[in-house]
Amino acid sequence: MARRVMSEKYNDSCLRIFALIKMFVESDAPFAEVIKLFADENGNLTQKCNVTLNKYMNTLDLCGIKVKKRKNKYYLQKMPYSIHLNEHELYAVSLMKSAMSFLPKGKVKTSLVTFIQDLELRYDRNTKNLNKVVASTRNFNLSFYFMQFEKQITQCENYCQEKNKLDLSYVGEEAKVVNIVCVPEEIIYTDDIVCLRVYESLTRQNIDIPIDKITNINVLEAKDNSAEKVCTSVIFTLKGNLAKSYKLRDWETLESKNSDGSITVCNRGEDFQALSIRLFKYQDNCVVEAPKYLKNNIKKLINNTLKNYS
Amino acid sequence: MKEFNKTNTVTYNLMSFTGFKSLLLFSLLAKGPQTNAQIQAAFKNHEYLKEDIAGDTLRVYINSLRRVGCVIERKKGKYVMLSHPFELSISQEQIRAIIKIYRIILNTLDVSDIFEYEKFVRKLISHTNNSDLKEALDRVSVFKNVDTALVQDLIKYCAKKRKITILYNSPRSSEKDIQVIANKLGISQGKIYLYGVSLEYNQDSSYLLSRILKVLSVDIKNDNMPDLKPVTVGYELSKTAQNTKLTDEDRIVEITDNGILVETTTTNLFMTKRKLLEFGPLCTVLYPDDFREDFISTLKRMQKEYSDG
Repeated sequence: MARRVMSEKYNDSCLRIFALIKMFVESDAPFAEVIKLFADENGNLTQKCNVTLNKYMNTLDLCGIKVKKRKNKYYLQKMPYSIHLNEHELYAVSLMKSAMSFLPKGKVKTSLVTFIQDLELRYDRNTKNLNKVVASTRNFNLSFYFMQFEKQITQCENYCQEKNKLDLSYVGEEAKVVNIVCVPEEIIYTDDIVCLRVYESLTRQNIDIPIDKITNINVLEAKDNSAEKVCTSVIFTLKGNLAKSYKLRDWETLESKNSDGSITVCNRGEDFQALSIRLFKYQDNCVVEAPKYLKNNIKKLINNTLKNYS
Repeated sequence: MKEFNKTNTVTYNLMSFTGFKSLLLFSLLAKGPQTNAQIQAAFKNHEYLKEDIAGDTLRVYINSLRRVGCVIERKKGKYVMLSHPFELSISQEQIRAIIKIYRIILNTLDVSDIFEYEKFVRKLISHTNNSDLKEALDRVSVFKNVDTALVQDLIKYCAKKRKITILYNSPRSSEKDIQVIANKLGISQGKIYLYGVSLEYNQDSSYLLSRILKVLSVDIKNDNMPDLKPVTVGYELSKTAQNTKLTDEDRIVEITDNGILVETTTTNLFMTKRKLLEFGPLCTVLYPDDFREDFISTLKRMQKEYSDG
C-alpha cells in the first residue's frame, strides 16, 4: 500500500522489511521485540502477526539474508550488503586477529572483536570461500615476538588505561636499579623489545622502560591530573651532509638554519637514552646543545667509550 | 517456504513481494550506480519477478529506501546510492585498536606485511568514509607520501634479488641514476629504506624510499653480479650488553671474561661503524686495525666537538 505524505510516496512493506533488518543488525533480537513490528494499528498482536512475520522472514531468506532463530532470539548470519576481500586483505584480517591478543582486556579489545565479527558478517560468498583457504594456508602467528611478556604487557596496558601514578623500579644502565614516580603513557613495540613509556614529571621526560627490566610496580592512589605534559626540549645541531638530508621526526621542529649550513633541531618527548644512542650514531656531525645534563651524558658516553682504547 | 521448496514457485502467500522488490533494488544500487533501464531489466529478468516496473513505482521504492536511511541521488541519468544504514561503521575505540595493531606490527613484521595491513585499513576507510580513521592512520603511517605502486614493485624485486636502476634524489648530488641489487625493504626510525648492494661502490647500501623517484630499469637476468669483498670486523661486547639482538651477519666466536667476542661480515664499514657506536662503552672494536683506528679517530673528533663548547 502506498501512502502519500506531502508529495512523497513510500511503501509500508519496504519500511517494515528494512526496520526488521535493522533490528537484526543492531543486536540479537528477541522474538517478543521483533513481533511488535507487525502489531496492528492499536498495537495488538494477533495470529496474523506471526503469519506476516513468517512471510517477511521468507523474503529475507530468498534475498540471501540469513537469520537463525535460537532460544526465542534471532541471530543475523549474513548481511544484506556484502564486501569482497581479496587474499591479501584477508591476510590482513588474520594479522589483525593475531595481534589482537596483545591488546589489554577491556573496551578497546571487545570493540575490535565486534568489528571483526561485523566485517565477517559482510563477506560475500567468494570471500567466505577464500577465507577458508587463507586461514588454512597463511597461519599468522605474532606470539613468537612477545608471548613471553604477554602477562606483563596486559598488566602495563591496564596501568596505561587507569592512569594512576606508579612507583616503579627497573634495572637501568650498568645494571643499577632505578626508582621513579611516573605516569604510564603507552606500550611501545620496537624490534623485539616491548617498552612501557612513562612520563616522569620530576625530570619532565618520557622514559621507555623495557618491560623485562621492570622489577617492581606499586600503584599509587594519585591519578595523573596534569592537563598537558611538558617534556624537556632537547636542542641539537647537525652539520655536513646530515644537515642537508635530515628528515625531522613528528616530534621535532627546526629551530634554525645556520649560516655555516648546519641546522638546529628541537626534540620533545623522545626517550633520552634512545635519543642519545641515535645522536651518537651521527658521530661528529651532531652536537647536543641543551639540556646541559644530557650534553654532559653524551660527553661521558664518548669519554667512557674512548677509555676502552687507552 | 515448504511450498516454495516443493514447487519452486513464489506466491504472494509465501513472501512480501514489495519487501522483496525493495531489497532487490537496494542490492542493485549497492553494487553501483544504475540507470532506469538497468533497473527495469533486472526486474524483468529476475527469476521470481519477471515483471516490468513503472517509472512512478520505481520512484516510490527509491523514496522508501531514502526514508529508511539510504542516501540516493540522481546523477547523469543514474541512481547513485552514496550511503546506507548497513555500511560497516567504525567506532573511536575500534580506531584506537586498529592503530594500536599498526604500531605493534610496525617494528616487528616485514614491510610487505605492514604494507598489506595498511592497504586493508585504507580499504576500510574507503568503505566507511571514516575521516577519523584516515587521520589516525596518516599520523602513524610509514607509507604516507610514498608511491604505493613503487613499494609494491620494490617488494617484488627484493624477493627476487633483482638488479635495478633507480632514479634517486640524493641530498648530496640531487637526482642521479643508481644501480643496486635490491635485497630488502626495512624500517628504521619510522622511515622506509631500500637495502641492497650498490654497484657503484660494490658495498651494502641503504636508500631512503621517499627519495627514490622511480625504477628506471630491471635486469631480469641478474647478469654481471658484483664481486663483493666483505671485511670481517671483530668486537667485544661487555656482559651488560649481551641481551642485545645480534643480526644475521653477526656470529659469536668466543665467550670471554668480560663478555663475548663477536665477528660481523660487512661490505659497508660506514654502516658497521654506526651500528657499533650504538653500543657506546659496552663495545670495543678489536680488528681489523685500520677500522679500529678509524673508529677511535671518530670518537676523538666527537670528543673535540664537545670540548670546543
